[in-house]
Amino acid sequence: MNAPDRPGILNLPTNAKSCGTSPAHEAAHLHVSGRALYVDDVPEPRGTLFVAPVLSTVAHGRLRAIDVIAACALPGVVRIVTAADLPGANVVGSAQDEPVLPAELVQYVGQPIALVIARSAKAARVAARAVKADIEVLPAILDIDAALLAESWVLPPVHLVEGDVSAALTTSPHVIKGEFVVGGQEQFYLEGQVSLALPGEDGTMKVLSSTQHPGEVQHWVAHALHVPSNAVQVECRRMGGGFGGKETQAGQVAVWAAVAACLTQAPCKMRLDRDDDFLITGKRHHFLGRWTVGFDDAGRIRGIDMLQAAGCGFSADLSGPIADRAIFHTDNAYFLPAIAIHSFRCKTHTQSNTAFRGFGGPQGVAMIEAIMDDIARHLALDPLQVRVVNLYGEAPRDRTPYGMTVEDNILPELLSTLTFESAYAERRAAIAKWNETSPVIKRGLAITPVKFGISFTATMFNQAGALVNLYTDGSVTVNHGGTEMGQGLHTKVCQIVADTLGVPFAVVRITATDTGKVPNASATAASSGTDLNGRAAEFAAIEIRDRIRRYVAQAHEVAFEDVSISGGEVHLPGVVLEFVKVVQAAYAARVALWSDGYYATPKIHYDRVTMRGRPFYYFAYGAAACEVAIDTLTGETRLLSADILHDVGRSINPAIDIGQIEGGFVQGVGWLTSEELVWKADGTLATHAPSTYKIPTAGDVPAHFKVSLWPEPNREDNVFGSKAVGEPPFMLGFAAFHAIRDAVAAARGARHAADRRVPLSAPATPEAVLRALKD
Amino acid sequence: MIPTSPATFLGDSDMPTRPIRFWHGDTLVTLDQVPPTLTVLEWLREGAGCAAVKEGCAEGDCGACTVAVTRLDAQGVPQVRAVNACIQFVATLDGKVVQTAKDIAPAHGLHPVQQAMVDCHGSQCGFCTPGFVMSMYALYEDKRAAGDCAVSREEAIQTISGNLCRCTGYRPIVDAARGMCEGGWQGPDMGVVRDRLMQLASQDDAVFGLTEPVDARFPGHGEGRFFAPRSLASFAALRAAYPASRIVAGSTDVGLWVTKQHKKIGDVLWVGGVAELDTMREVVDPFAVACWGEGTASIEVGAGVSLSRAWARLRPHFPDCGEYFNRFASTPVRNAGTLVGNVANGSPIGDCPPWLIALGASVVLHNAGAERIVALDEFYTGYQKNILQPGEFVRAVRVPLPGAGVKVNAWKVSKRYEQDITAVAVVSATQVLEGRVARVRIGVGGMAAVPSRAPLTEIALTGVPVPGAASSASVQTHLPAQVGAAMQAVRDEFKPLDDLRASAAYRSEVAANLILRSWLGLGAVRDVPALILSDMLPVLVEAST
Repeated sequence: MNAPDRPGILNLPTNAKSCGTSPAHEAAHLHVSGRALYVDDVPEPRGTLFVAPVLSTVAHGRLRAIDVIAACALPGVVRIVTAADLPGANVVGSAQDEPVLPAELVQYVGQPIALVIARSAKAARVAARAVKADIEVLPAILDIDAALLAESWVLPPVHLVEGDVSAALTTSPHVIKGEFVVGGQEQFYLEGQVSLALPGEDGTMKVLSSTQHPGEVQHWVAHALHVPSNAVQVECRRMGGGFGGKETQAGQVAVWAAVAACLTQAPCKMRLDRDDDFLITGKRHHFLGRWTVGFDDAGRIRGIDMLQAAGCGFSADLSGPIADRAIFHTDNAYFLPAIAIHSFRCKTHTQSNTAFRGFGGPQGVAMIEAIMDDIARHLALDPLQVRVVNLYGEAPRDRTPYGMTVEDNILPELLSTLTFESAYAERRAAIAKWNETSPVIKRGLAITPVKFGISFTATMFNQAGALVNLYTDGSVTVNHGGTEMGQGLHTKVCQIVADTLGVPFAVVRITATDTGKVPNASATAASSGTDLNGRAAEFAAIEIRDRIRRYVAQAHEVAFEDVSISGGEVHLPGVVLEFVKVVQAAYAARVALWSDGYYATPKIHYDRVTMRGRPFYYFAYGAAACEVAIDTLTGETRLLSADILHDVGRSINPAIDIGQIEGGFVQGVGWLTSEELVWKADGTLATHAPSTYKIPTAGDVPAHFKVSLWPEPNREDNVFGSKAVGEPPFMLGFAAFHAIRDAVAAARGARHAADRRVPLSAPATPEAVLRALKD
Repeated sequence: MIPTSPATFLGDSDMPTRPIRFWHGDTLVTLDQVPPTLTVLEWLREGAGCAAVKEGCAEGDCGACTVAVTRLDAQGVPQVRAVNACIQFVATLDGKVVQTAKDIAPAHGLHPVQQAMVDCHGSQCGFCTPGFVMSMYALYEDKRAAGDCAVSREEAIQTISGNLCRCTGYRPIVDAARGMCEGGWQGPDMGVVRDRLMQLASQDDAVFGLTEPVDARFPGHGEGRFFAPRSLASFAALRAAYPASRIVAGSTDVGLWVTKQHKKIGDVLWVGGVAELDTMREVVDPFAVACWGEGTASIEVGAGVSLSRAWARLRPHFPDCGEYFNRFASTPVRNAGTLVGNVANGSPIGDCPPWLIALGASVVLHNAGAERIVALDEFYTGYQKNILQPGEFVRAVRVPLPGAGVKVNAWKVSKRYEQDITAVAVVSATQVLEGRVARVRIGVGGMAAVPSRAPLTEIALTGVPVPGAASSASVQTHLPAQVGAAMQAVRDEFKPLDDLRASAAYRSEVAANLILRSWLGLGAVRDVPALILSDMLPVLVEAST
């Protein structure tokens, strides 16, 4: 096991009791019995007021006046807040390019232009509809094509060029052009955005926020209230889902609640109802890709010249790093010897699109997987064969377009294992036979791989802090900068702390994420929650453990190395001591029983100007095999089976990891099939609730759904030998999408012999599939 | 002390009232002077301080607010049903038991359904979880009553069809549902609940209504009374006296007017308290006879009958419509919504009307004791408009049972299979004689401002020979000209709209293709392999694994 070229393995803990097992989510018993408290469930202090937004009905316009007289007269209304009333700076957003409330310019339908504060949520919402805004309508840019034409950007274009692309294209045996459009996606966290702001003494403000990034909420609120950061405390016990949607955009809701609380000096709660949440907040960026690709007879890519355009909405938000990550993942799992990517960050008068699981990565992967499929259809090869010949391999086929060497590539082996275990070849033959004799229902099959870079591409965010407290009764609390949105982060951190301290999992309790405990924490994002916070907590626990060990060694006159703690017992040569007794003795001997821990990811560096470096500590890998059936009369599709083989390193909690893989996969399939955002001609989002926006239901999940974990620890030194799991499985959904393309190809058959490529973009709604059958 | 004759409360001023009484878990609740449109969810969260129900959408589409509501059926047996608390009005709980996930958990433990969810890792963020638990609890109690601990995958999926989860991908939840009954029946049985319901029933009054509309806690939302008559005669008298009152049955649409549009709907006249309306019976139906010949019976479905109950009764008569029934919204919506409500509402994308139009259904219209019967295809006059006179209401729908000689096929197309709204629906009822279409009726949804019959398409299809064995392999290329003409006819006779669900072009094309599918369905099944995905699902899944 101790292969010297695999340094991660060297540091694997060997006496783990909890890590590697699957205790239930730390709050599962609370979830199922309705006892878990979310922000809206915390009993409201007496006198709590409720805030509702007044939304712009114009996509782009000049705000001339807001008439609040009628609304103010409605029962329960306390106050209506406009830009003129703001106590601090009227600027917010991660790029500091959004108003708290617009003073002059409105930039999308749904933009909050005023806040109604009332004695009940319902009264506030009713009154919000009675506020009348006078807005002079200006021309609006509503889609990517219009933005490209007008050169309307939220951030300047970025160009990554690696190798001699024009030479590669001119010398390629085959050159084709192609296009792929992939739609946006609403996060659809079941718990909508919510904050409760509680004014305190001396100008302080405490905010309970459903946020992935309490630290940023703290900074934004401080800025908006014109107070220092130490006057604002932000707390988050849990979210009812986040998926990236609460990375930055929980901040605006918290600011609005805090502004209301500051102006009224009363507790103020703002919970967006579902329609307002859809209309106000950003979604996954929709992307347009257009390319020229050159390749050889085997389908091996020689060069690509690609335009990538991201629909960003009215402000930058996280669009810069998201579009960057799309660039970084345009290779997905494939070696691209020469590539030019021209990335445009389009400004449109719509919601400001934001983080969503994968963070641009899936959009980059969408482009290259469409290219793989196009190449295969063009050459009449099995798409899997084309994917395999393009995989990263030995040097020189191990260098990414951004100059990072892929050192931990397991995909060739992983992909062939899955191909075998999912009986790809046999099923391919069976499907071909079926399709010959079935006139209406056609089947399709695809295997797609995933390689996903782990680390924030902004190197500075790759740090974390934690606080572990050991009490004299032997119980432990752990606190860290990460937030729990359902992904099981807190459970894993408790497992890590339990094993490190050598105590049972049951005695470790997590406490709410709190800016007063761990400051300046990064967002819980980029799949990095456990890598960063788990390690910080591990380091804190090691510190406490080793202080106890040192104390015991001294008290019992044995060597430090001979003292160990596990299973609630302290072991030294010939003696076993009860952990609790040792803790009490250590306390009496004035040993500090709490510690902080701090972790910064090693090895990574990245230069944003040259777009070169090692932005990722390591890669997480996986692949999925999916089979679908399509109905050629209606375009409806059914996912029949999914076999997944995914790499989570050495799993800290296999059940939680499998949950992330299954959930990510299904979410990815939803994005690529049934989830369609539709805007009306005036820029109003027409799909703004679950009645009109369709995420997968239980019936959409295949009857055969098998997930296996790749049995190898992380080759880099990462906590417990694990790998990040939040985002990578999302992109396994491409297997379902490309199986649909495969079925469409079968249905189109000989009718389209001149161009066998499948003109199907995403989402593959029934209408899109039916169109692709004909076009 | 409380007058029992409906005539006595027709005057505005002296309307008899009594508080709403129901059980919330183990607590007997008495509510007075609440707004008629106060929802169960609002009352639970804001009135009862119960955070075990969540608001995810306030439109009955996500299931985070799912609660179990139990009432006694006509035989006095408790019936536990999952419903969406967000669009149920609290007054409809009168005489019932409502339970949340907190109410079924023992003080220091978990209900078997909850334990199964923990054991299967069925919760991640946990926000949707209490709703899932309550949907599953309703199935658990059904299973317990039936003494059957086996839960099929299909049953599990149908049970949670109204619950959205964004985290798990559902597999562990389906596993939990399938395994939850295996540990032997636990938790208090329905005996206690039955006693409480019987006690409430024994105290019940013949009628009640709520005056004093304004409740200070919900200013601006207390306008209107909640009429809950107990007899058809009272209902009709109230309808005649208050023709502007809003008739409410399951409130699966009206509920959204309140939660989404903040609309004031005035007086509510509730169907659910009238036992006479909650019935189904076989009737002699001249409309059915006119359509399908002598001896054709109909089932008359009363205005209070939920879609769940209606489908359960009708399903055996329509073996090819199972998927259509399952695709109607979700289990909680079908538990609350009624077949008559779907008809009276008249939405062009309602799923019952096209099906009923194809069958030749009729509606029984009641006005102050007098009744008239009208063919359903003559009921609608325009977008959400119909022929009802002031004071008149739909007492029942008569559903013809054309028998085995008539093939009834129903197709619904939407972006998602479960809990979605129709883009296009086509239903055909076809009688074949001597290898040709002798008679056919076609109903369509999503193609016009009202649910419509397709007379030109029917004419084009009449006389067409049914598909023979040779046709299957070449469906698209060797169509009889008459089938092509029928497909063109359906394109010609409707001008559908573009909207977020589908384009007009797609709707027309799919409607034509579904006419083709209806015709294909007339052949022997073995001649038409893989006609529809759901039919083929077991075969396909087996083939793919």
